[in-house]
Amino acid sequence: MRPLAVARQVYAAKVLPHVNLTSFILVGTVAAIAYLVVAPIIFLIWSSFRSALPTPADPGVFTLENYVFVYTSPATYTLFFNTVIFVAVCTSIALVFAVTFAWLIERTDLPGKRTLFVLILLPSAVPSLLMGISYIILAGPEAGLLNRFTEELFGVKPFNIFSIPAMFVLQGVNSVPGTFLIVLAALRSMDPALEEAACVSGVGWASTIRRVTLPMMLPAVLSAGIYTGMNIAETFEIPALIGVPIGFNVLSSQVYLSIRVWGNHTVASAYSVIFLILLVGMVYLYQRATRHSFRYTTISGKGYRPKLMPIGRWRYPAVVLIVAYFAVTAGLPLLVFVWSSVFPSHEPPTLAILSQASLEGFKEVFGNSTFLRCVKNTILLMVLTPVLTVGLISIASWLIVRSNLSLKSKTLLDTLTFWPHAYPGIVLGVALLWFFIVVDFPPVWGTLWPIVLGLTVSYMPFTVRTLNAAFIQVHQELEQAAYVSGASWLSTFVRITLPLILPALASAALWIAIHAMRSLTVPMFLTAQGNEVLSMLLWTYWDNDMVEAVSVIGLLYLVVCVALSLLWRRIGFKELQKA
Amino acid sequence: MKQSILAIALLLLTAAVNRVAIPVAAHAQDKQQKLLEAAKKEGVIDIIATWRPKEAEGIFTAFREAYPAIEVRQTMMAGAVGFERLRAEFASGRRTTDLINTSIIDLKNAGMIQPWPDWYEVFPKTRKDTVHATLSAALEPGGAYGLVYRPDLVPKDLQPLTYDKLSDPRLRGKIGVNIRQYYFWDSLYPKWSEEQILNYVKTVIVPQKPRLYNGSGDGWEMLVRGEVWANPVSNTHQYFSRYLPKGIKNIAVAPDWVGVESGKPIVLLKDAPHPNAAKLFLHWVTTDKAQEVFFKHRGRGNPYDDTNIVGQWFKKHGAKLFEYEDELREAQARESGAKILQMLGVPVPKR
Repeated sequence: MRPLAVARQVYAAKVLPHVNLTSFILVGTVAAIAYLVVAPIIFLIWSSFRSALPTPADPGVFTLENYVFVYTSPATYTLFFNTVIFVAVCTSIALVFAVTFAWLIERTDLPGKRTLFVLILLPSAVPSLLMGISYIILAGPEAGLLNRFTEELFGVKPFNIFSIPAMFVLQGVNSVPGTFLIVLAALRSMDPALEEAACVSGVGWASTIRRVTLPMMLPAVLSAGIYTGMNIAETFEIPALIGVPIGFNVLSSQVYLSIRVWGNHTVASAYSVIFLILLVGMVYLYQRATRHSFRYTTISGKGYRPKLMPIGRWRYPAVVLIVAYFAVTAGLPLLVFVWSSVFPSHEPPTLAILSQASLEGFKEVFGNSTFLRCVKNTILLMVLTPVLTVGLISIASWLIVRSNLSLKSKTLLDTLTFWPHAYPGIVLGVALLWFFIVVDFPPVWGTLWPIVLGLTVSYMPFTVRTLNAAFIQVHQELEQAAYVSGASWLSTFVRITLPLILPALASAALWIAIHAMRSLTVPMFLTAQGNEVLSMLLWTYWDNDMVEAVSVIGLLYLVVCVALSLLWRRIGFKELQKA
Repeated sequence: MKQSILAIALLLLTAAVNRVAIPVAAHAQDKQQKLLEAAKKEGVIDIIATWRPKEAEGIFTAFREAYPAIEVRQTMMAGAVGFERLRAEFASGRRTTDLINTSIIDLKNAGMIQPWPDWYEVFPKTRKDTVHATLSAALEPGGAYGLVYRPDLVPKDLQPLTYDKLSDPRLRGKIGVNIRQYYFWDSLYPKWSEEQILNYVKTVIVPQKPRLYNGSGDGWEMLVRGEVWANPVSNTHQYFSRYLPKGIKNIAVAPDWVGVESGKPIVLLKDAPHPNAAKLFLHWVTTDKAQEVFFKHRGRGNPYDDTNIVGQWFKKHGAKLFEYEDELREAQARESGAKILQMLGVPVPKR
């Protein structure tokens, strides 16, 4: 028998060991993932049929009252309509910017592409909570810094962030970086020969885009649109900050209001179930849109390096557009927080008030024991969440890509780990609140673990995509050699497999750490005495109109987020593109 | 002779009173000592309140001066959010909170309050007007509600602004409505019936497409930022405690009628992890010294009392004051408040 065949036999025998630690780890991992992904949602649905969260005086009973309240209220249909409009408009805005930027970066002779590429991606480091807050400080109708500035110069106050169009634009531009990456990857995998043929035939670049590039990109744009739409549907911060005051509520803000303002968990669960159905529908559409994506792949050996289109005099307006985008989405928020953390009032930026600069806000924040506790908890969260997520998913991903499980089982596991993409953070928070209180297994309520576990579920889809791609790219020969040499599965996995995909692991871990730091919706309902994290403190301070403290924490937050994002770009960006 | 008899009688009476009083005082002292010892062992109190860090620091520093061995830790949360947190705590059985500074009605209905029946036995000299009738809460000084507006933004010919003038088309989109304490509309009740209020909101406020805000602090901040020009039902204590940015004439004006809130309860919770330390804190809140501290740091003062700035301010504006009656009224006010929010397109589920 040939050595490779022997190796394969030994490998097959080792893949799913029958008993021992290895089988315990493999089965335990799958069970843990299934438990974390499925059980909270079962309890969410259960809770939507309860009269109340149990209290000493009222253990709660089975009822349909929540659904009656939700479905008989005309406002619910308005909510649904608002959510659809919000998602559709914001996604369209994000797509217009993302497709334009991707085309400019990938297909044209734009100068300074490397820098511009960073400028497009860097705003992803600005959490939407901070973006919303900064624009309220900046473009509030009366006291907004921009309005105060223009009033001094021209006697007018033209800006008003509290309007539906402003809310849509803010959310839309905030979603550009993620959409841009998906569209860029699709554009890179497209054969430019057709576009070049059009150019050679004397068709102008504008016409080439309209008649060749865009039709070719349509499937990728569609899937990017659905993906972005899912993310926008579950976003909570900008709808809560800007939508609620102007009476434009969407499903995510309604779930928040039901619990945090009106204290009704069970109605929140009923809203969450509707929200979940909407997102499950979108995930289904997304999976359908991407299932046959290979049909549209036009990458080939020849002509992969496209000839760049000269856009002539449009080069500089294009550069200005990207720089302006960066300024609006990252530069201005950063400047706002620098300004308002040092000048603790709504004063316009003039030379006259420079003498009023004060570091009181910093002193107040750093002298506050709650802030220090939140910093400690956030650091712990940024360590524990990536370790747990990457730990669980690396095993799951190995089972999906490497094991000799049946295709059905692999598909099931893959779907299971991707499914949390349909869980809006706020819904997951509500579900886990019920789950940890009522089931109480694991008995971790009141500690940092519910937040860690919630975020782990949340980040499974991203991690599984990243690690699947990494496993596919590493050939099995080295693992087979280890098995032939008598190494156990565990030893091979830890000493051979994982080191081989280390860049992907590091990339995923860093991405998770950044997002764990920014996450607000999952911690919002899982916070208890002593487990508060920074994002929650930021929200609480904003909720209690502590603008100076918010500015100080926001500034620190932005600096750390940007630094980590730049680090992630250095070490992990390629892995994301593979995924 | 008569004088001698009277003197002897007085002597006997004094002795009798002392025979009773001395053991009572000794008994109370003994109880106080035991409470203090137990509180020292607990060493800490966890409270949910919305006191800003500077306010909390002022209050806790004053408390530490009285009881140096006990640390007070605040989780900053508004009442409804805190109640939601408590539901989770009670449901999970993992209790961390001892006290909460919020309306008592929800806590009472949920069976979360812990009465302290021998409060007056332990501290016989307690100021009873600062203790809630259930003997489960101390009351920080009351607040007052009223119509508050920005005179620099509201058109001059509408000033002084009254409820009638809120229908002016120039105020469209500039009136604030609180969606968290939606039941504060009852501050208008003695002047108007519930039907009148609902009718008023329907015909005057709703057509103005008011700006919604989440809690009285948020509403105040929106007023500071000029996002709203007038809050018909605003908690005026913010006016006395929050800084007013330079360059913005942010002046609250007392309305004709001012709803005076009874003191805001700081409630002892059932099965609190640190019940003895919490009781000490409660009692401390009822003292004159603590009431002054709360006024100083929170801006809450007695509007009837001319010796504090709140009372002086209302007197100066000639505002007529009225008081809330009871918790039943709050429950009714919530129902009508929910109806008001329904009119504004915001569905409010029962608590």
